[in-house]
Amino acid sequence: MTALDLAAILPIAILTITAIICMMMGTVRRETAASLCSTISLTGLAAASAAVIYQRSYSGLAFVDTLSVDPFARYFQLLFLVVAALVGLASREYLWREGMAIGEYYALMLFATAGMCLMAAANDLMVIFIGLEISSLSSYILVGMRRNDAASSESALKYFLLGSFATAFFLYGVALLFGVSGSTKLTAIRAFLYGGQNAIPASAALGKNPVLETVAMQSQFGFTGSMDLLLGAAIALIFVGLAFKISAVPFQAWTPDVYQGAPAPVAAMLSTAPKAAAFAAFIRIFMVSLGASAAQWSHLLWATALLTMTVGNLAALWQSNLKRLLAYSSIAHAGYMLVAFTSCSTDGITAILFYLAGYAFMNIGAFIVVTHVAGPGERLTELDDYAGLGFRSPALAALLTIFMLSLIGIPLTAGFFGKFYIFRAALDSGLLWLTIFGVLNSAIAAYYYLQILVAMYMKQPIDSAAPVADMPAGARTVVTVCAAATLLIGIQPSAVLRMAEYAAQWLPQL
Amino acid sequence: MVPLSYYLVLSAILFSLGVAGFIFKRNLVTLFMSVELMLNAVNLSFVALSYYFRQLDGQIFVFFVMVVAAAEAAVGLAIIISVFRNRQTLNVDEISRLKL
Repeated sequence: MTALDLAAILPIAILTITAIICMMMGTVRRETAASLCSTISLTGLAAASAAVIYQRSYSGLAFVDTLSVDPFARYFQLLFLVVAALVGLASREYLWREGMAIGEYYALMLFATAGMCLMAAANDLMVIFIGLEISSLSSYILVGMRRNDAASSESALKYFLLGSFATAFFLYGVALLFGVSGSTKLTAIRAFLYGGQNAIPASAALGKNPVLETVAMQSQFGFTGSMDLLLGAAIALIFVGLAFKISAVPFQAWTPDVYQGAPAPVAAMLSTAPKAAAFAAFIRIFMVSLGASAAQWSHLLWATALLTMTVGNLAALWQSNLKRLLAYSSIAHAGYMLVAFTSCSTDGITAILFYLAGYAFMNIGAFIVVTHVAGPGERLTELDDYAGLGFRSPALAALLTIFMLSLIGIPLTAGFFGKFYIFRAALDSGLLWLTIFGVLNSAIAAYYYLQILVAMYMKQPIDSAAPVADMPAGARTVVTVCAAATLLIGIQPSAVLRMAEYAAQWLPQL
Repeated sequence: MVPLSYYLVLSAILFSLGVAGFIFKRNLVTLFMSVELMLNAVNLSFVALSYYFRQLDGQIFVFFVMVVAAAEAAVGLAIIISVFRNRQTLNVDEISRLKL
């Protein structure tokens, strides 16, 4: 093991060890575990962040070219760690209130984060698959953690079934791509697709077996058409698998059900970190290894982006449940990011990375406020429950207003610059129509976000509405940090933008 | 000697059967088995391709997939049990409290 290998694996190893320690805390008394677990996991996340920052002096491919140490991976890893820290801190009192298993919750959250870090850094389709499964399996359990709640276990079931269905598609795509190029390493596939050179020279690989050699001759030279077909199928299958994970239309059906049934802090995490991880894998696979066939998949991406924004926004108009509304809004936001991805340029990727960071802060903030207003058992999540919140609990309503304005994309918030960079990148790449549809969509979206503001500030509270309790310390800190970050990125985007640019520039140009 | 394409076609057929089972069957355990069938169809592709390329990578991937499938079975069956406890049914059509 070289120093580079160690640097590549260090953040993931720290997360895993911390997760195992948290898991063991599940056996001690509940009171002790509650106070210790969040501290331990936050320490672990801080140590992992330090390890990611320490990685900066290294670059290259580690572990026989399976892990890549680069700014792109580091950007995503830092994002996952920040998301995990925010969600972990905010859910401390929530877990206690809902009587959930605390040690297991933190352990699973850290395992999921470790899986996502692995996905972001992987240079091998198989490692991406393993990372995807580590994070998915942990999230399936997290979603179903309110075991006695029928909605929670139902949404865990839907998430599990559709998630594993999608993973099978992804895996089949990997197998076919392996069949086409003879390797699962992203860089080797790139070299093959650009140079037409199989990673395993046919004659050397097949030895002296005359029958096999004939087969090889046929498939390698006789039917070049069938190789193209196989490559096309591989791209389509990988696309389907990842589109499920970023909940792109037409593979979005699970998202609202899962977010509605999941514990709210878990939904906050699901809508940000795993989605970002799927985007990391998406961008890396398509830009690094499948860049040569961009002509084939860019049309697919164009249509998916348009459908995802439109369906997400239109469906959100009819929602009265806040968690469901935020789920549809997260589908729409994935659509905006796909618009930037369709441009396939460095600017486009920069815009996605920037958007993911801003979106993480505003969405986690919104979900944590929703968690708190929902009260014990998460009963108050309907729009009517927010009537007059601006008078009942002005601070909470003001914070939610900031997050909603940012989700709309009002200037001086992170959402504005996120959308601005996305549409600018799309215009620069000549995607005029997609940009027009995107801007129209943002206008539609304003309606349902403003609906929440109207309910909070212009409706009389229902008489029976109980006053909202004070926010517990952990959640209050997180919401304040999220609001501050949303405004800070909205006023001074250059710091995050520079990081995103640096990360995106590492990717090869198409 | 069976040509490579036979294995790949068989694997594609098994995968499609898994997809069809997932879409048309209504019992949770059958849905779960359909996903397993899809994963094993992929395994067949990996093994066949690995044999064809005369390299071990594909065989190793199959081990990874098998481990993941086992983990998935553990989590999946646990979730199915928790759904059954709350609902006393394994029919997907009856498990739809959350509106679509």
